[in-house]
Amino acid sequence: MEADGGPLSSAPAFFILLASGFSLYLSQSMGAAAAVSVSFLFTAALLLAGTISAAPGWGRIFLLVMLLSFLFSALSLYRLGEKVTLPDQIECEGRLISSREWGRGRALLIDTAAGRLAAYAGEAPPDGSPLWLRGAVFDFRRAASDGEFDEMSFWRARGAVKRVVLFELKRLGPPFGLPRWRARILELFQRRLGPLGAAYISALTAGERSAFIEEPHKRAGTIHLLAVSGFHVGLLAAFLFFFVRGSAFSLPFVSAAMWIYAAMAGFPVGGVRAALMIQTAFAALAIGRPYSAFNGVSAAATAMLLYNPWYFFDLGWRLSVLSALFITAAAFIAEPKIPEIAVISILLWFVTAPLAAGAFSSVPLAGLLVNALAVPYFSIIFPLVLLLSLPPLLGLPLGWLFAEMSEAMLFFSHRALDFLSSAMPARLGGSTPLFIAAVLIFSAAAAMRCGVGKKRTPPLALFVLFFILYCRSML
Amino acid sequence: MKWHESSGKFLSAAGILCFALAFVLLNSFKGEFGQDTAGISSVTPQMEDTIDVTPRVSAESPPAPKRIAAVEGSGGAEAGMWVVYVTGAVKNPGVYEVAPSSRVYEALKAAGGFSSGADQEAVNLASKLQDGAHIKFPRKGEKAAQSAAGQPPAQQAAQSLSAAGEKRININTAPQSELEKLKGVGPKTAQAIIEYRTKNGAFARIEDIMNVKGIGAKRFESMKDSISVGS
Repeated sequence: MEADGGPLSSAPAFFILLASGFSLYLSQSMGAAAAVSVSFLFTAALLLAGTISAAPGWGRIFLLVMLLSFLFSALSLYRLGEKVTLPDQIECEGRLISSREWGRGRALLIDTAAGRLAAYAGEAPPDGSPLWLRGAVFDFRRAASDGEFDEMSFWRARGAVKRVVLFELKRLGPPFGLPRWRARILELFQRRLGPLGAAYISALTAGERSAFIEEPHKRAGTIHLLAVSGFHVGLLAAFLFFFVRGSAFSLPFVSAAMWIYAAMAGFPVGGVRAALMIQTAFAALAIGRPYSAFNGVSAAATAMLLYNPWYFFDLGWRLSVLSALFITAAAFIAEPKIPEIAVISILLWFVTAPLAAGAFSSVPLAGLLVNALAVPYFSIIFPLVLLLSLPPLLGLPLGWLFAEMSEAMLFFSHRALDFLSSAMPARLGGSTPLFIAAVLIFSAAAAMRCGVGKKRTPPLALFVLFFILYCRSML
Repeated sequence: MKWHESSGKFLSAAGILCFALAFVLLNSFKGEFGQDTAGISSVTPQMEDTIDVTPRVSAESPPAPKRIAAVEGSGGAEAGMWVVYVTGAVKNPGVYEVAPSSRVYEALKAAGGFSSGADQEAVNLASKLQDGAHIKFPRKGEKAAQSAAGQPPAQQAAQSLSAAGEKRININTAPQSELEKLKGVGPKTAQAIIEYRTKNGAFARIEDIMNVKGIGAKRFESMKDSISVGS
């Protein structure tokens, strides 16, 4: 299936996202003005070369999209370059937004009057606790090479402006607000569910991942299933929508539930992107306008970049946006049948593999096939585990029985993951052929989705590949 | 032939033209850096007792100073060249490559000389530079705190005395034996401090010593009143 009309009528937001993202990418190797100019020309080139014929009024829309592309790119780069100045040492009050496992200790995100600060500590008070801290302020460390952890990108994408080495940290009182409820819920999971059930439900509802459930998923290349993402938000929205469909309050109810879920999980990038996307779909539904999922993903991703351009350098954001764009483009082009879905799943692995390999040095080859089975499997298992967890969590009689059933299902799932990953233990490192495959597959899918047409898609994808390879050689 | 029927060809041609222009721009600005100056140390150039403003006479003239692009680490610098950051009352502030062992006047020259309103006597132009140094030339009436390039040795020595009269150890210049006098610093840590400053340039502030492996918050707290960075 091909889109009606050209790129401008099919997915204008995609081109604004492309311009913003490309200028952020180029800003790593050239000045802001040059980066904006090059990305502006690149976007214009794709729009022009991808348009088979200009409908009446095309010129006005083209100018509007290009103007927005320019403004959003310039604004993103301006915000990216904003300097944050803090004294060498700081002594202030704040609140612990979140803490997570970090090697043998914990990584803390603390909200203070001076901005959000990241810190590492042996142990952390409960999330939401008011704190007093004294420490030395540092800039984040940058990765020296591909595959190294880039502290700057990681923390800036989470809103932190500086790293603080703590001299003293005092808890001033009990936790309050949403983090307090989050901590209470996590505690309830630990108390009333089995170890696997508690770990999975904690990851799926509150974004709190434990190392012992991460390991089998890492080996199988399905770790993305544990991060609260579009998959989970979409499942929740679909689940709730099924029960309240037809009601006058269905859209506000599902919207509210979705955002509460995203907030409870600590606003993970994938979850926020999906919630924004679903929200634009609801808005279109409410006003009776046609909705394009591909354009919706692009609009949500652009809005996130405007809010915090550091998202662009976050692996989670990149994987989430790239996957969602590819899935929505491919699902539009292909028939929704099992063989096509399996092909999309395999192609998706190729599209995202260079990003994951760049961050972790290599990706498990098992993911190529396991994902095709694991995604549909877990989309049934996760809601089932959630339902089975309700009786023990609500303290109902025989709740333990349901908890055990859930535990057995998850145990079997782990064993199956272990078996599949041990059958395919090989890992694939990042390489130029893999990168070329990813760019060509994604460009072709996006071009087809944008109504470029079968004739123009191959040369356009080759142009994009050539251009990106040239840019890549500069970094 | 109507416009919308033949527009595809014109638009394709325009698209190819835009691609070509984008390539030309890319090629022109390849390697240009953003404005980020993270990673450049803001340190005081070292002073000497003897002031020598005579340009060096050499059979091989030193490489001319040049403005560079990348400033993260020293990625943009040519091998063997020093990188300095010149700001304040100069015509072209920025990051420059200068020949090793250059002096402040050479960095000033690279930055186009003084701008109008510069306090031309606030900075000692003859003092020696350091790789990774930040030299700020103040305007008239502005405090020359950042531009400590012009501080005489006596003043520098005076600054290394704490209010209590206790001598602080300059972690940028102290030899291993002196560093070992610091509380909690043994031969290994002292060696690590020296290796760190050799590799990364001078410490811009005392807190940066916590970047050295083996020195955490507790050790820093115990030594902070005994150390200085010489400014």
